[in-house]
Amino acid sequence: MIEFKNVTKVYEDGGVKALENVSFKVEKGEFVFLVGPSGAGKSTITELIIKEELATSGEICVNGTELSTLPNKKIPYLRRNIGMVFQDFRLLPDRTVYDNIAFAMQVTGASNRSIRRNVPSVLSLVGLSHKAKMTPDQLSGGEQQRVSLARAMVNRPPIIIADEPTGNLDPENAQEIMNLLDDINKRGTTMIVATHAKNFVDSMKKRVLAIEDGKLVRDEERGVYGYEA
Amino acid sequence: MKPRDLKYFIKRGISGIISNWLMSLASVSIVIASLTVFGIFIIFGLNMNYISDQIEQQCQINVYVSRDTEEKEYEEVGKRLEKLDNVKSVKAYSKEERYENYKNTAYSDNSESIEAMEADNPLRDSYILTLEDASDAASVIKAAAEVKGVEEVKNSLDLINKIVSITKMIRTITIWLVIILIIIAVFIISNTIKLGMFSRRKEINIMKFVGATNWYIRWPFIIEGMLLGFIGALLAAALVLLGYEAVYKDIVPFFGSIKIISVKAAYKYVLWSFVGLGTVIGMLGSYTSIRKYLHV
Repeated sequence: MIEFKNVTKVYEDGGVKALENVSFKVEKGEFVFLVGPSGAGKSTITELIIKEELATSGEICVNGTELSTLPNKKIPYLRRNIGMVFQDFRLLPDRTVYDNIAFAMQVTGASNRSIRRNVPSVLSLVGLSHKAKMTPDQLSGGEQQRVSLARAMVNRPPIIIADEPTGNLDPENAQEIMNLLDDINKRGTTMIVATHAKNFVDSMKKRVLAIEDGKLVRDEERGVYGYEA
Repeated sequence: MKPRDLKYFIKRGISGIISNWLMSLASVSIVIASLTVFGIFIIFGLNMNYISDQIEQQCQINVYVSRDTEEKEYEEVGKRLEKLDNVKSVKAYSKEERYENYKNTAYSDNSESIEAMEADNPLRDSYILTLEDASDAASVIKAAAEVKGVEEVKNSLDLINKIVSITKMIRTITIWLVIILIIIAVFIISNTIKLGMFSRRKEINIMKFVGATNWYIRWPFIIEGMLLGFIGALLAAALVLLGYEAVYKDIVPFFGSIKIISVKAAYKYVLWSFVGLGTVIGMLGSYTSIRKYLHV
């Protein structure tokens, strides 16, 4: 599903080496935690997968496509297969919960009928049907993250990438988000979660990829966080 | 493009103009300024062409006899003129007729001079020659001047040449002025759109990672630029046409028998060229901004 082969990334401005010779493979339906200190290269991996950045060398395959051969015009179609969740939610403040989610379908050219069908269904999955008409600022942080999760999955992508999804949440809400990610993964969606949340990594017993100074230092099935929280 | 998407693009374009109203105002103003200058030139140029066409078509040569010429001698001069080569017709245009014409057209409200003329007509009897071949007017002019009893020969060729050269000069100046103004307009619209992109960078970012195509992201900004150009063009067209309409009645008598472009005809030329040009200016402005700053 996602494969990195000897990937090195050097940022042009400043020549910072963000990733060095990183190789790993994530199979369909896997749940993978990406751990490591801040600035170790976790976000670079995310950016490379959605072709926001280009690898300096090495190969990256997503859904069977080698990304360096993917023309820029096709990047939007790659991203429609990858749901993104961010630490800061990234919701549009001037639109309702419903519209925020519907927006992700509209831009892909989905029919109005499928929007009317899918949006309420993902809203009920994250337990926010009753808040569809509210705007993001009327919601708690945990609720906002559930909206952004609903948006990430509304186009039924085979992959979801969550970058520090619990970073801004209290433990209770963080737990809820992790449970949802786990649920969605169990329905068959490949899940990659970059996180600093030691307790979840240790308790959920998923595969762990540890990145330090741009190098992959650990790849363990049912791994642990391995750093001081 | 789906109707839903078009509605969305237009809605976002309009909301962009409103939320960025100060820059939008600047954009519309510069479009108005450049197109108004352009419009004044268009109307001036159209009239110059129209007038020189009329004069050329008439291609008349006016032949005057001296003031103290007797009726009989005046008729003789007419017969002599008819014998000249390349003369199609010779029409008598007596001082009485000229006086009537003069009274009814140009200075009809200047009663003092008319009264004075009534008492003692200072005009001369004349003939109007029309030619078979207008290109050889010079030799006819020369021959007519040598006819016995002829005092003076006037022709419209000099006037046409003067009009043509003035028009050319004004055209060159205006074209450069309009080009400079259009470049400024494109630049200002481009900056307006850039600010719009900056204030909506969060939305653009979200659109990118949910998989919106580049065109889907671009369209609202292109429409915003087109609308700015379009609004500016409409206002400039209104300004130019209403201005022309206001001065039209005062200009018409000035030209006497020569017609100038009617407001209705000017309307036809100005409105559509303005709307087209304004919209293109707006599109150019937003497109340069998109290429530079949107990275999509």
